Amino acid sequence: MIRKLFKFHGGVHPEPHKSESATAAIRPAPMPSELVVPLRQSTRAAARCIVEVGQHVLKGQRIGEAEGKLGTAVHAPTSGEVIAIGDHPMAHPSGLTAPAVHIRPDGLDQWIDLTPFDYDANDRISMLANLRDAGIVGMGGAAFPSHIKLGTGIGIETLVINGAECEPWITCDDRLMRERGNAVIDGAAILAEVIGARRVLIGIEDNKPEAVESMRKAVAEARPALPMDVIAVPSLYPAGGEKQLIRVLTGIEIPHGKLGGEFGVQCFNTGTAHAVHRAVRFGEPLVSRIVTLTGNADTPGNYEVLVGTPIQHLLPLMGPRPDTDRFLLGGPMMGFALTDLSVPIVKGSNCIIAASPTLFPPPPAELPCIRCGECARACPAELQPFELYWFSRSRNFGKAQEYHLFDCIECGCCSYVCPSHIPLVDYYRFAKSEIWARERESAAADQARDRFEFRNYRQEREKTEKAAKLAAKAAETKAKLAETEGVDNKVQVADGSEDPKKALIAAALARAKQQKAAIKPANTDNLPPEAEAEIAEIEARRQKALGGSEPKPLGVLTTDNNGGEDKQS
Amino acid sequence: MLTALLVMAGIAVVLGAALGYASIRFKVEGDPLVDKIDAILPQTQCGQCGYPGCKPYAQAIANGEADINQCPPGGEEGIRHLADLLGREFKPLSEEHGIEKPKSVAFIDEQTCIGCTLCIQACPVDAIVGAAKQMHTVVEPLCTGCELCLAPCPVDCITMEPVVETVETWKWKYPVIEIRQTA
Amino acid sequence: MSRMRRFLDSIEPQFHKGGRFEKYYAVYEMVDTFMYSPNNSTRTAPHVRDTIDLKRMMSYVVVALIPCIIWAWFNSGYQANLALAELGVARDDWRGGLLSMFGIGFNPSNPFANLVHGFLLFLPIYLTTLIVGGLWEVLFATVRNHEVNEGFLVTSMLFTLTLPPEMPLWMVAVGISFGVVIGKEVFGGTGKNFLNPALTGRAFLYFAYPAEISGDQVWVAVDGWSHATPLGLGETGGMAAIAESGLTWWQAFVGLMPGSLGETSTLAILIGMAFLLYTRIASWRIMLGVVIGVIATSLLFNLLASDARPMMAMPFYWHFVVGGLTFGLVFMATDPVSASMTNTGRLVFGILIGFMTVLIRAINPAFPEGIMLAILFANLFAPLIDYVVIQSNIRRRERRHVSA
Repeated sequence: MIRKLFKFHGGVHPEPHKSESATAAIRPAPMPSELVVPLRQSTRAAARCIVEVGQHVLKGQRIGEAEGKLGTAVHAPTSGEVIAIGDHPMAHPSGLTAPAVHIRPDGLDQWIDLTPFDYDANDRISMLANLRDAGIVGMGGAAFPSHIKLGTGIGIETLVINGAECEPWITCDDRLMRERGNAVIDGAAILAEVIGARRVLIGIEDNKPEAVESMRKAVAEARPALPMDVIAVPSLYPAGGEKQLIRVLTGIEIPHGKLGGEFGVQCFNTGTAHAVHRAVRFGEPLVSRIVTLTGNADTPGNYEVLVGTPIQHLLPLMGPRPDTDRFLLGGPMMGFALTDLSVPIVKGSNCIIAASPTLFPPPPAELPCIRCGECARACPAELQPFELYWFSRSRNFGKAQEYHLFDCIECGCCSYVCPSHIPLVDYYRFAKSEIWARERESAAADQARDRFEFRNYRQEREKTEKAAKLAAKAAETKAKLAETEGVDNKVQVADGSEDPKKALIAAALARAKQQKAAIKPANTDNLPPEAEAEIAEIEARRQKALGGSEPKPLGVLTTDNNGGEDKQS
Repeated sequence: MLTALLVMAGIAVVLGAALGYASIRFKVEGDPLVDKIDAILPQTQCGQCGYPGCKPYAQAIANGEADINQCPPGGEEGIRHLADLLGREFKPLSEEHGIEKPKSVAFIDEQTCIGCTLCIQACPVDAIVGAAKQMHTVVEPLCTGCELCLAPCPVDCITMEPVVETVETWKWKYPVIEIRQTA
Repeated sequence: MSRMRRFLDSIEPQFHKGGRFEKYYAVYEMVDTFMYSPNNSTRTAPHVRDTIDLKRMMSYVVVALIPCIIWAWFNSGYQANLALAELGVARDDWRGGLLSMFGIGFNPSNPFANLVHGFLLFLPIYLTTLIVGGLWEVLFATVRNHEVNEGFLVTSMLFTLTLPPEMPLWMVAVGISFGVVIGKEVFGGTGKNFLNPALTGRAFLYFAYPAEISGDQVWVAVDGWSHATPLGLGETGGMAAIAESGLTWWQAFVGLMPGSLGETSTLAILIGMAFLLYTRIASWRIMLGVVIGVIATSLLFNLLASDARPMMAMPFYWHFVVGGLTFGLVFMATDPVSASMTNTGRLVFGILIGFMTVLIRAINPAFPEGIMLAILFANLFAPLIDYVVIQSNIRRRERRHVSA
């Protein structure tokens, strides 16, 4: 069957370098002496630790509970003893630390009791919960929780399985599809059923003919209930970008700020499909993944690696050559150089590349932009990268957002083609994180302002209420006095008796206050709460503005001002 | 002569009407300046500027009573923004109002706290919870780091802890390629 | 490690902060990066890059100019020798001395003699441009702490080729100074200028010294020999005057006519253009736009032609072979820095240039040459064109997404 494929804008053709690691079969990586399982598998959410130091855990035992909307569970990758729970460098360009569970393997690699999940006997909600508790996330790199993607999918027509693997060097999906095609197809069928898709499209770049073949065979063997097509798509970076692959396969262009789900398409990585297959058919949580070890190495290849294996433990497997100067995590287009080799493999780590100055020459110095427009020609998101660059560079973030900075997928095509070697993506990342930081700050400032104004309003209200209460009490006392002492108040006053005098003053004050209090409710009786808040705010502002110089009508802010002065001294 | 007068008068009437219309049509509502200044201020409500909160300070700046360099938490960047907004010259932070510090949050040593509630009363944003004779604690995300709770504490159990960078708050640095290597 | 590298490394500390020659870091850097590729830069994704870079783009433009340069040597020599022969005089300056000394002579039918003569005319102008402009470049780079950009090589070559062969050298110096300083550096240097620096310098000379650059006499490098350019002829006498001078279209196409150094041969320019298009350095959209603009406007004027403005009758295929139109359209209009940068914008930009060129040529008697002013004019409009294009793109996409 000849299917009409679509094209996305731009794209580049970097050297593929797939053959280095794609030839050898997947081998299991040896067990390290210590596993470091980060509770935070991605920047989105951290799991809550549910084990203690000294506790013995079994392989697949949950050690971190899913927390928050985007949380997923984390499991022990092997059986052993928890020897520490503490901060450890994370697989993140910042090299910052995050809490992690350190496990010393006991060598038995003993699984917990595994029970396959029977979808027929359960409903959709429990299926999603099951996936969340099995720690299933997107294996393409972003580690986005799969149950969220499945959960939002209402009216999904097409399920796209992403086997494009467009980044150079990486071959883990390629090998997975070649060797475990049946499992991937089964996982895809499960995903399709959960999401209610009516067809499945499996997109694979045409530089992986073996994977295409293997997947076609697997589809033929599986005889799925739904139409499943394995489609070879032209090799063009970034064909494996979600929006780009959806565009190529279905022709649907997903607009700014929208997700595939809203257009009846949802996309999962082949690795995710495989993990779903293991989780549902065997009850195995996600504790390992395929990692490509390649680059400037003698024995590149693909390994099945336990999540939490420190990267330095994997390096001997590929035998980096002596001139290797750094290691990249992820592909050469979007990955980052590791600052610390004790960083553990997480669920989203797909590739480690040994880099040498000859293979990955350091970028030449940045030269001025000459507006040649190459970046605009290469941009798969159809942005104007140079405009974004100028706005980001001059910190004109409002303009950058107006030109849809956040549609940038940071694929690196623009930096790849830039003849002036401008690190364009760095500028966008800088601008994006700066905008996020500003949004956080302004949200915090708004919150602080609201809380401050409400506090002032509350204090004022408390004062008023207190005064009213006092006045009522005083009035009561006075009434009592008048009752008991009877006719001649004057005598009492002349007597020099203290209490009635005080009572009189209090009564006078109370009258004044009551008047005030009475006026206010009368005014604000029928007002909506916003208006009331506004009045309170204005009231507070007025009193603050009056400061200490003028008599304060209610004497509310005295303590406040004192507090302020104390601070200054 | 009369024609000239009439023409001039006619022009005057037309232009006057146009001006009058424009003043109605393009009327600027209220005085948004105070709100604009207030939006730049960090809302720590710390009172270091000498005014009881950020809004009064904004008001004072707008009225020309206060200078723009009295807000230590806003720091140099804040002053720059204010200078931009108001079209004034940038000036360094006035020292008598304090120095710029890294963003911190208050931390109550729960062993030492006697539960006097003084800090609760001092907190401008109600970020401290607790009750009389009970231990108090700071609700960290709400704390603005104003330090107003430090002074009232009778047992000095409150300290300011700098906010540490996490992967969630980490920012990509401005990509500067050094032509001149730092020797 | 080579001796040169060791030497450069050994003197490098002197140029760092606090070093003795701190101020001259830019000079050091220029020498250093000219010979070696720099290694002091950040290392973030992407870790691989395309092979094209700015230096290569610039050198490609210079390569594309080679046919023009060689033709400039030959033709200016040929025209000078022709004039000498016609006047029956000998050249009595240093060029004449050199040419006689080596026995090359002044025979216009000897291509080698023409080539050498032309080279001797070209060389002083080019050297002056390079040295004076280079000094400004280095000065600004030193003060601003940035590197000297290779784009300058292109600017100086283009500037030289737009000048008449016997331009007084002090004027060349003033022109390139104006071009580099006012046309480029005051705006922040390469990439931030909105006018083409070479054209800015040329335009400055055009308006400052009109007698030297725009009269009939200057186009041939021999004093006292008056032979107007075809464009000048067309301006005064229309096509009839050009025909009368004996110039055929093919001669004009090949470039055997008086004119500025590099602009006479449409053929040589077309060779360069093919190279630029093949390497995708220059935008075909801009070139196409200019061609469309010129053809459309000249056809329009052909319809409106009157005796008062003989140029209006000039057919479009003559427009392309006389004057600097083709040179400007291939090398000047496509300068990416000052041109439009959106694809649609480039087309519009080109059409504007084409239209303005013919308009100025045909309508304005004061300016026989239109392309220079047309390009500068379009440079000014480029940001506006881009703005409109981008805004309409954004609007269109938003509309499409709303309906989707």
